[in-house]
Amino acid sequence: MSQTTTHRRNLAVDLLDQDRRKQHLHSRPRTLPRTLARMYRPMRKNKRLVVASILYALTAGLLPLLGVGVMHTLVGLLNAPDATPRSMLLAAGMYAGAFFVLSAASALLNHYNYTSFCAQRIRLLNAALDQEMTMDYGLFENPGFKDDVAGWDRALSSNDSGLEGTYHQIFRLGGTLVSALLLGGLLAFTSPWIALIGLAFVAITYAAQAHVTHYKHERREQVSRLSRQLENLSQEAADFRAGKDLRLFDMGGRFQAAFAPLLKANRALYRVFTRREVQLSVPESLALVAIDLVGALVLVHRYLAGGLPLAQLVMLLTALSLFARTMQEMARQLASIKDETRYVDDTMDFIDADLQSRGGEGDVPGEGPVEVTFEDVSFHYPGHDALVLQHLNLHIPAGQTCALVGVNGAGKTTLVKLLCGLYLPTGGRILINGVEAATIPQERLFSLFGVVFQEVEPLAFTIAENVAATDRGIDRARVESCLKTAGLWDKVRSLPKGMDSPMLKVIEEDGVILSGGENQKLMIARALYRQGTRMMVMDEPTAALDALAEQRIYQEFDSLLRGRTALFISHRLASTRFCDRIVLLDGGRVAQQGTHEELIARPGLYRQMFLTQGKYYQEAQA
Amino acid sequence: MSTQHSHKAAGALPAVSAGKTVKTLLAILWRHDRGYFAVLCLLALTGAGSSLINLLLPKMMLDGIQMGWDAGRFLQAVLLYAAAKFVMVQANAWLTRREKEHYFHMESLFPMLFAEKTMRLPYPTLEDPEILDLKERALFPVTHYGALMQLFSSALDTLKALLTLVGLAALLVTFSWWFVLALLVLCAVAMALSARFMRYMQRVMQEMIPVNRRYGYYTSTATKAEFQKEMRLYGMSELMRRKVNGYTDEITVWLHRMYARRGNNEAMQALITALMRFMAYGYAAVRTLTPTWGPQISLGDFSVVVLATENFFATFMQLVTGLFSAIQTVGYLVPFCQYLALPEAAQPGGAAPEPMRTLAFDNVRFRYPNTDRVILDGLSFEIKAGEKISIVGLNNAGKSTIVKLICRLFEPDEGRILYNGLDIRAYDYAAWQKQLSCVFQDFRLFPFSLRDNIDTQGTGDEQRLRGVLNEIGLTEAVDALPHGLDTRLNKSIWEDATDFSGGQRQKLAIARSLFRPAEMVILDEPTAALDPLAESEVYEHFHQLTRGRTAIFISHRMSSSTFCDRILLLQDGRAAAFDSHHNLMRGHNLYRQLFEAQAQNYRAQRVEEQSV
Repeated sequence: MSQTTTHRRNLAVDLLDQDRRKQHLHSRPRTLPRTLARMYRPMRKNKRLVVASILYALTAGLLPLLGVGVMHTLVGLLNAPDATPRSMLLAAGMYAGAFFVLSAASALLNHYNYTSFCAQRIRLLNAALDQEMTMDYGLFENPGFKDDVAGWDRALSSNDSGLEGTYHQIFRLGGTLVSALLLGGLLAFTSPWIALIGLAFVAITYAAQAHVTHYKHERREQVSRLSRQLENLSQEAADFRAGKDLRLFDMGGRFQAAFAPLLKANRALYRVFTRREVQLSVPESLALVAIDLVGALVLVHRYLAGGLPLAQLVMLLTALSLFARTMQEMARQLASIKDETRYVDDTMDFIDADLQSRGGEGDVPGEGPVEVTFEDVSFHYPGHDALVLQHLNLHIPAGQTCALVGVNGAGKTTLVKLLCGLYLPTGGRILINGVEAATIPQERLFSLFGVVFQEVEPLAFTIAENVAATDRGIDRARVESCLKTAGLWDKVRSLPKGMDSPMLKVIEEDGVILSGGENQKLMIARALYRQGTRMMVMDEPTAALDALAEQRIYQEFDSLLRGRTALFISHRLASTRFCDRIVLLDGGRVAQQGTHEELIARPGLYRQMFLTQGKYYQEAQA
Repeated sequence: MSTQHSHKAAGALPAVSAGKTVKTLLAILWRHDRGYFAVLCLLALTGAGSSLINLLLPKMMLDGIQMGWDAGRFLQAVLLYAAAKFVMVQANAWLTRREKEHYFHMESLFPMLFAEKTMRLPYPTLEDPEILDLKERALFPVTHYGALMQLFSSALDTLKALLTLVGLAALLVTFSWWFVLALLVLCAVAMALSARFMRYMQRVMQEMIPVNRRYGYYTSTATKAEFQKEMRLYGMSELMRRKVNGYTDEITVWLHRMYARRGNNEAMQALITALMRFMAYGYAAVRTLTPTWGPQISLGDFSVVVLATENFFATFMQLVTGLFSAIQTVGYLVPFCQYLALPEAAQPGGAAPEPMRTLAFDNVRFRYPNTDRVILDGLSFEIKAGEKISIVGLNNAGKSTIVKLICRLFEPDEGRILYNGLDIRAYDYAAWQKQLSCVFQDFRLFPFSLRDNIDTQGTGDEQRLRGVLNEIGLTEAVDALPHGLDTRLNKSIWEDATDFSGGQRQKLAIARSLFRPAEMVILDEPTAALDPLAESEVYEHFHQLTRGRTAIFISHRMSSSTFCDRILLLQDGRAAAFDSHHNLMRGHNLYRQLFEAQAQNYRAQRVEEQSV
């Protein structure tokens, strides 16, 4: 990398290459022991859980052996000359007593520890959410990255599969292993073949399942793409907000037509999986039947040869049927562990991957408005060649109010995202008070800008929390004054719970829903609230407002900015007249800049746009 | 605990019982995948068969010994058994996979059926917050718990268990009626215990709904693309994390309590199971030993009684669990079926609308359902064919409501809307909408090709399509796309799609409305996302674009009203004025005030410019 260490790294670009991305995301070799080690690392110290797991394995594992034992005893008694019904019932009663103790103990051990695993899943889910919320924003523009990490939630969204399912499965596997060992040992004592066939069955089943699940895992992107397409398409069709256009333009038929090939592809995909599974199930079934077949023949042979008393034969026959069942269970458990850990690996890799924007030691000390300079800045989206910004130069002195105008697609929004550090330039530098922005840690950089984007939606918190962007140590007086400045206080005051009113109806039935214009004001208040905001950036702040409300905002602009540097985007050129300077962006460059008076005085795009927009008002005058 | 959402108050929601829910779901299954039924039934049979066949081996062996079979006879019997078991196990394996295939198909089908239902709902339903809430409640169990699939699998388990039970009971009854009766008593006790626990579970789940809902909201919001910018810029991930963690703790405590209780319940069940085993072993051993409790039985029968009893009890418990789980799941699915039972849009027939002469609002009063604010309070005005009018008013004055009423998406509470003197409700609904063309303020484009988005009726008129693109200034942008007009919209669905910028999307929406051969064009804020030049182009071409059709124009950019024939000034839900721009500017009114507010900025400039 040619960048010096003082720059923050640019993951969106660094991870563009597929191999590097895979290397970065999946740096650990994927072996089962490593996965398990990673899974159990956080629980190593949980002694209670370790003891419980061992006790469970012993109690649950011993249960089938009890059955074998009682059969031996009873058949032995049946053939004994002095047997009475009483002794029979006594033996059965003792067995039942032991059975109760062991099975109650294993049930309690299982369920009392169930939530330890559930809690671990939720902890990792939170870690994954955290990763998603804090990873470098530029990565969202990296087209391959999204597909690589899509589906991380698969391993974290259920009790019975993925991470938690595997924990439970392994917990229960302990019991199965103990049973298999005891029953297999008992049978091996008579003939090692029975135990060997049992093992062979597990090996075949495991290999077959591993093959199928590997095949599926390899195609997981296809699977998740199809399910994403189906899900998003049905969401679009069922979106209430699309209801008007959908009805008026009668789009129902088109949706049905779009669904059909997806459903067909989905069906075909699963059919391919099924075919493989069915083919591989034949050796599995054969091996399962072979356990019975070989076992029964060997035992009968021994009995007929006279080497086996009847009581032992009955006992071993019981052991045989339990052994077959246990081996079936074990094969199922092992296969499911192998299958699910593939997805657990994907998720763990996502959580552990180093995806934050790190690096940079620069700072912009002090308070007050900042000065911004773009030096020969170029930008293209990762993976695309088209330059959105081309060798752009721009200087905004501290405290100046600057309007950014231009035709649709001129690169205005991209410029804003670069300015506040969501993206890094692909060429040139951005300086803030003379410090190169790329050397300033991202969080520090973010804290300098109060950005109000278009189409903003509040979150289902209280109004005060939405303004303060936190739920702790809210300065209520400040919230109030910011809402006043943004022109929303009258509305908030009129609510029964004032600034503590919950927003949206998702969580609280009496939640407040604001109009588009009011939401925009709320976001302005949020930008103002933050102490460190040294520059305001606003994207079309008056788009949704009527002419009078629009004018009010312009008039209160100065009190809103309080000397901060400001940049704002607008298509309503009249509003730019309240700005100290106007920057016109065209084709990714600054085509014109200056005061409104300067720009209007010479021919150019700005003058053309202004006169075009103004002409209707002029003509009307006459 | 937060207050339970009380949805009972809503009289509008259809009442759907558990039985109706099951019937609805079965009907869907029957309609869309009959093969699934067959597979489920066969699978229940082979499932029951594979568990019953296991009883045979020990019985056969022990009976053979008592009957003194030789090695050849044994070999024959064991091979026969092995062949039968192989067939059963393999059939079961095959059916299990087939079942999965159907299952995944249905799983992908259900969201589509839900969407289709939504498309058939009458429009006012979609603006009802109660219905929006129902939609979320209906989908949550399906998407978060996989409830539909849960139901199918517990139905299968129940059926399988039922068949196995019948087989086992038939077998055991041949030994003793009394024994089976005693067994059933034990089963009943176990079931009562289970039922108690299930009731507890249901109560807990019910209490957890709001908590789960919050948790679901926070976790899904945390991953939503549109919140990611703000989340970073304002460091809101902290806040989200704390909210999520707060609920995580709450949920964990709850779950722990639930599973501890489940453990206790199973320990109690273990007591009954132990009793059952005592009964089975004791009874069978005594019957084998002496004829006290009935005719003596063979050693083979001894093993059959023991295994069959164990199996019976275990299967009975599976039946109970399957049944309860099915009942519980049906409960979750009631909102889903309520949604499917919502009345669908009637598309009343009527006269075919003839070419337009006039459209008039006659004393129209309107209030959105279940709200207090009167939006239109006796609105009257009349437009003549070919006229271009502009509707002007403050935010929330009811401008967009007028559009919805004209489109018959809502009906007036009082008064009438007259088309050529006849109430618009007298016209055929579909035909009425066909002759309207709108760009709604919150217009939507669809995840189809650009061609399908513009030529919504599929006329295939390439020349006109190109013409419209040209007029609206999209030709260049469309030709730059790899698949041109066949490029689809929405990158989140199609990899090779385009998402177009806000301005381009707006142009596309205008193109869509202009392409449609309609009597009347309605444009609600059609230039909000356009730059001044593109906006002006729309204005300049307005007459040409609307081609002598009647047009209604709504915009906060007051300049737009200057090229309209008349302006309807909407104030307090009524027409405060309906006059030309020229005339309105001569009086003192809100229109002039609004116009001046914007115009002064441009007009002051004119003077400066002239002096340069």
